Amino acid sequence: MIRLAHVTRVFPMGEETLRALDDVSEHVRPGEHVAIMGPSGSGKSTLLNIIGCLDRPTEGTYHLDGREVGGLDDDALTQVRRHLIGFVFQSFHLVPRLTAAENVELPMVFAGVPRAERRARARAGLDAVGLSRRADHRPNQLSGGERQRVAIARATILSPRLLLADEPTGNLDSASGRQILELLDHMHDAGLTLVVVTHDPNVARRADRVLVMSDGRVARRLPGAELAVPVTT
Amino acid sequence: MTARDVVEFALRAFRGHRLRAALSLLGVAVGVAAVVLLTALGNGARRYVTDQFASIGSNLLIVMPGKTETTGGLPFTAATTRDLTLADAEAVARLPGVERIAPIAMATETVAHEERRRQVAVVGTTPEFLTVRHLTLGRGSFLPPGELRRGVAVVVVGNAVARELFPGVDPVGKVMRIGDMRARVVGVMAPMGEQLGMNLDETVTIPVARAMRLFNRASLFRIMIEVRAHADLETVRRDVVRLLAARHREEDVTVITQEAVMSSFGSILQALTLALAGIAAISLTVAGLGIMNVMLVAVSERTVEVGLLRAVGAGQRQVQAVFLAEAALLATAGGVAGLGVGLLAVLALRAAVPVFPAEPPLWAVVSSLGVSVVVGVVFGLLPARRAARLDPVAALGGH
Repeated sequence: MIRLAHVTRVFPMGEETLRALDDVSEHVRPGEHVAIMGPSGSGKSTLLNIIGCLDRPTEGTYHLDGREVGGLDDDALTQVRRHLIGFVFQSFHLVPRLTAAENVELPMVFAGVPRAERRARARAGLDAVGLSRRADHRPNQLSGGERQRVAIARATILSPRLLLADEPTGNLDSASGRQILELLDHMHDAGLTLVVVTHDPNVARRADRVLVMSDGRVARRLPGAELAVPVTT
Repeated sequence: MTARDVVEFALRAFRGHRLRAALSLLGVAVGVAAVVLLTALGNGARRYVTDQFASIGSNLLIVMPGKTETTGGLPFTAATTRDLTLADAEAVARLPGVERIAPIAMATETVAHEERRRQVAVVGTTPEFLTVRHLTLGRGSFLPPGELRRGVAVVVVGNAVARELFPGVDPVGKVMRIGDMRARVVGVMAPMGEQLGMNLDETVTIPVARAMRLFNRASLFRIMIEVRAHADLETVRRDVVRLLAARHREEDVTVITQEAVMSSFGSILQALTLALAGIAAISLTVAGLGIMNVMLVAVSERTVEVGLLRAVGAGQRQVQAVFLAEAALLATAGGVAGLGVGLLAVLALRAAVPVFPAEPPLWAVVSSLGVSVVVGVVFGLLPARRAARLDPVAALGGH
């Protein structure tokens, strides 16, 4: 599903450069659930952005679903994001002036799905995350957990192959967080490849595999089940 | 993403900043309303003047002493001239194609009746003046017909003069003073109001020969000639010039047609209208800057949203379209509102000043609306491009 080979990402920082990713090679199988851990600045967000085609590697190659995407132009990357990838963010990123249903419709608007079909699919998507009765609420009328469920419905509405979550429970209380994790597990069980960036060992433990980042490199790889205690590197 | 989707998304965006959107919309509205109102004024002035000339008649030639030089030297400077005399007027009247003439002498004099006195314009002319200028007599009779040079001591007073010098009395038959001359009032003009910048209600009219003696002048001010057929206007004009050149042994008069005056006034006022439109267009441009400002603020406020849109599959062109549509919608709505306000203001003006035919020319209405849309698109382009070119990662708050 994901095949990174010698991926390096360098950011210019004035006179100097920052190596956010340094020669990362990694392979994620279709349907796998991978967690990325590591301290701030270790490169886990940069890795997620490259996997999500929001960013491009400075060096190295990235094959997504068998296709080299590292060198694609902006239009082509947009197509990849639209149809292959769903994003879930720590701070939800719902558009505040749109209702829950309209937020879920957004990806379909840009993909050119006809209006009536959009309506129906958005309702169904909200139904799938248990929010059919909240469809016409604005984000500020929803709880944090509900907002993240709307965001997950939005991320999966165009049936992507890959779901990327950046600290999906970071802004939630533990009960809401657990619900979100169960929802993600459910999506994963349905066949979705899942990559989660997290600080929380309780989140990472659910993954098939945990990548621990340090200084732009993958420092350790271990099965999620082995993650008994909080990891410090 | 259909055009309807783009427009809907843009409309939703106004929910977030209603006041700001309304204010920048107002800027465009003021600009468009200014174009409509100012061009209505300019155009109204043109129509007003044209109507005034038309009321005098389009078969008119006007003879003025002095040759206006339109080529070389100072424009409109009169060279040395011979007097334009009553004999000249008689000669002109005998030309073929001339229906009637009205010689005119003019000066300001003090007129008085009993204790009341005031300064008015005194017009010396002949009975034909009434017909040539399409004037209406209120009471009594106009100047008596008869020989041009006799000049009996009679006077026809304007409506306002009659009211002021003869309050509550019928002036006809009374004797009044004009300068040091005594004259019997034979008639009162009907109220005329202002015509060509001169209030005919505040004049008195006496026989031309009498006027020239009174003013101690040998030259007429004008000769107005009514031509029998409109088609002969130019022929008669040339004949008049030739005749007077022969009589004066040089070409020292200017003969203009009513239409030439009308069209030159028309083109001056047309230019005025365009200048007013230009001034108003500047305010439209300023309104465009307002839109650009509002859109730049919107883009920087919604940077995270742009990142999100890119993440869920919006292309650069779609993001650009969304922001451009916002700017264009603001400008268009402002344009429509301004058009409404401007047209209402014109209607109000017409109700308040019925004699002034204020009406915006169609080109001003159409182009002000068109320009406001163009302004929205042009000034919306920079902010929209800025939004489209945001790096998705940076926009989402990475790094």
